[in-house]
Amino acid sequence: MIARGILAAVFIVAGVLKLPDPTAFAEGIAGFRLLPAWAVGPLALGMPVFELLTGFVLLGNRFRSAGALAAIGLSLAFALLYAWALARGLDVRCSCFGGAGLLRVSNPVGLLRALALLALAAWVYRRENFSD
Amino acid sequence: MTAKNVFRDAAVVAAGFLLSLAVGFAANRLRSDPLPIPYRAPADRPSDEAGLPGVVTLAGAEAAWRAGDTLFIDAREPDFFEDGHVPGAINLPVARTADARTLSGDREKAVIVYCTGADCRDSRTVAQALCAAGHRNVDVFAGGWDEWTRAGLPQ
Repeated sequence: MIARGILAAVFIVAGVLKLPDPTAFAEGIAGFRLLPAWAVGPLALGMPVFELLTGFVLLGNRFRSAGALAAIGLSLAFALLYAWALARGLDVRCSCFGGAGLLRVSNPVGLLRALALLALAAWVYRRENFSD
Repeated sequence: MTAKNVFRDAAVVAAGFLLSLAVGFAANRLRSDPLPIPYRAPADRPSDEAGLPGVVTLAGAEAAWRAGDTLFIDAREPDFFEDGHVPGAINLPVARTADARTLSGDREKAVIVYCTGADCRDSRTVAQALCAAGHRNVDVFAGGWDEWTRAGLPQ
């Protein structure tokens, strides 16, 4: 329950902080130079909403298990993106929590944070589906 | 826990993602400054204001730097600046654009502003502030620090 609350809070905060400035978030995504230009816009618009949705669904009952699965998918994607950026030596801000996010991708703390989030999401998903 | 559950959850996630895209697009249409789709880097966006800074390429920036008569301004935040910058450049991040007024007495001096690369807009913001402060010879080096370092120029 606590784990689920933390997981939900992280995604809700991340979504809320990105929502007001899609242009800054799009520039953040483009800075990674991983996605083609046609994909950057839709992702910058959809991602904050999806993070919010994931957070709220985790707090509710109906689609909680799906919310945990989405959290696994998102945190796995973040971890892979981070690892890729670290390996390439990219020097950009992570944009994890809005355009003014403080963390730089060259800082491995971000990768550890993404992995911790992944572990938390996996644990919540397991509890939702394996315990009674 | 069955495979069926995973597929059902995955279907819900996919539906949720499509819903999020739809909501995001709908909200974008209501914004006063909608995000262009497909994405365009700040340097490629048409400018709708007059009296704005010009743009220099890597070759132009390098020539100006070698000539030594141009003031380089690094618009990135201080932690990036401290890790390396164009030699002689001064750091003027967006948060301190108010300092643009007090930068230099000589408004005719050539100034080149840069930030991380083509996908950052801080150089344009700072350059516009300089123009607004009365500087008449301001250019943005759109390729920025990325292009400068990739070309193996001094840091």
